[in-house]
Amino acid sequence: MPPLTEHEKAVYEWQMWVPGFGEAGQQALKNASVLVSRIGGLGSVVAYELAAAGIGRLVLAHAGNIQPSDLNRQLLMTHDRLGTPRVDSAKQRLLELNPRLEITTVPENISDDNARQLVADVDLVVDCAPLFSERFAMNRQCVAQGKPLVDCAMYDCEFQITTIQSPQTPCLACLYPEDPPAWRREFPVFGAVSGTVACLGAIEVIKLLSGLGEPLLGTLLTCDLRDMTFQRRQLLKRDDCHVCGTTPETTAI
Amino acid sequence: MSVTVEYAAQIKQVAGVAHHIIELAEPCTVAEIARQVAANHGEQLADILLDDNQQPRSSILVFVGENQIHWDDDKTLVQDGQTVTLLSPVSGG
Repeated sequence: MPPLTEHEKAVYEWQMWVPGFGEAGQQALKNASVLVSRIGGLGSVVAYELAAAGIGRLVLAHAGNIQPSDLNRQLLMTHDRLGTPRVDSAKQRLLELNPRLEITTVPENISDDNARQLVADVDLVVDCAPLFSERFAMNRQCVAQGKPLVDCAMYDCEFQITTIQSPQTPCLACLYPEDPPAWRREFPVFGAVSGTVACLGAIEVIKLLSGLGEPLLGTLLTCDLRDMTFQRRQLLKRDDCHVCGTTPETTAI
Repeated sequence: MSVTVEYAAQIKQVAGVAHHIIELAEPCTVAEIARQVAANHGEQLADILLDDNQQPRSSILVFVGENQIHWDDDKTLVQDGQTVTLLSPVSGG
C-alpha cells in the first residue's frame, strides 16, 4: 500500500494521537486485509468500526438476503433494502463512510469448501458466525496458516470474546472439541449487546495489526450486561486437540 | 464446605438462577461438582450439563476462579469458598 495521504492523515488525526499507535499504526491498518465472517449483528459493527478506523481491505462473507429480523442488530442493513443481498447493503454503507476502503464481497457463508482460500487472502480473521461448523472451518485454516482469529460470541445480554493465535494460544477446537449439541442458530439478543462485543472485536483487530496494547491472547473476556459484570478468564490448550495438538489432523492449506 | 457454582448463557436460562451454593463434604473435582448440580437442580439442568453416560459435556467450559479446568482433570480439587463457573457455548449472529 502507498504511504498515507494528507487527506488520510487528516481523517485519522484523532486516533493517530493515541500513544503507541501513531502514523505507523495507521499505516499498518491501511496495509492490512481482514476477513469478517458474517456481517450480522456482530460482523456489521466490526466491519463498520474497521472501515472508520482506516483498514485497507475488508473481505465480507455472508450468504442470503436481508430479513426483517436482521434489522434489530445488523447495522449495515437498511429497511429499504429488505430482500436484497446482505453483502451489497453492507458494501454500500461502508463505502459511504470510507470511500477509500477496498471491499471484497462473498455472498457465501464460510465452509470447508471456501475457508482455505478466504483465509489465505487476508492477514486476520474475525469470527462473527453463528454456526460451529463455520467457526471450526475458520479455526482449522487459521491454525494451519498461522493467522490470528478474533472470536466473538453472544447470548441474551452476555458475550464472550477471545483472540486465537496458534500455537501460542488454545484454538477453538481446544475449547469445543466437538459441535455443541445444544446450540441453536437463533437465540435471544439485543443489537446493543452484539454492538458492544463487536466494538471490542474491532479494537482487538486494531491492536493485533498495529502492536498497540495487549490483545486477549489465551484470555476469554466474559460479560453479563444485565449487571455489567466483566471477567477475564485464562484458557487452556489441549495436548490432544485434533486441530492444534501434538498429533493434529492434517489440514490442507 | 460450600462452593458457589455460577452459570452463564443457556445454562443460566435453564437453571433459572445465576448461581447455586452447594454444600460438599470434602474438596472434589469439577466433574463431581457438575454431577452434584445435575442431581439436585432438575432434569433440564442435568440434560444440558451431562451426556448420556453422566459425563460433563465437553462443549461446556468450566473455570475455578478465573482459570479454566479440563473436565478430565482429576488432580485439581475445588476447595471451600471457591467459585466454579460453567459457560455454555455461544456464537455470533
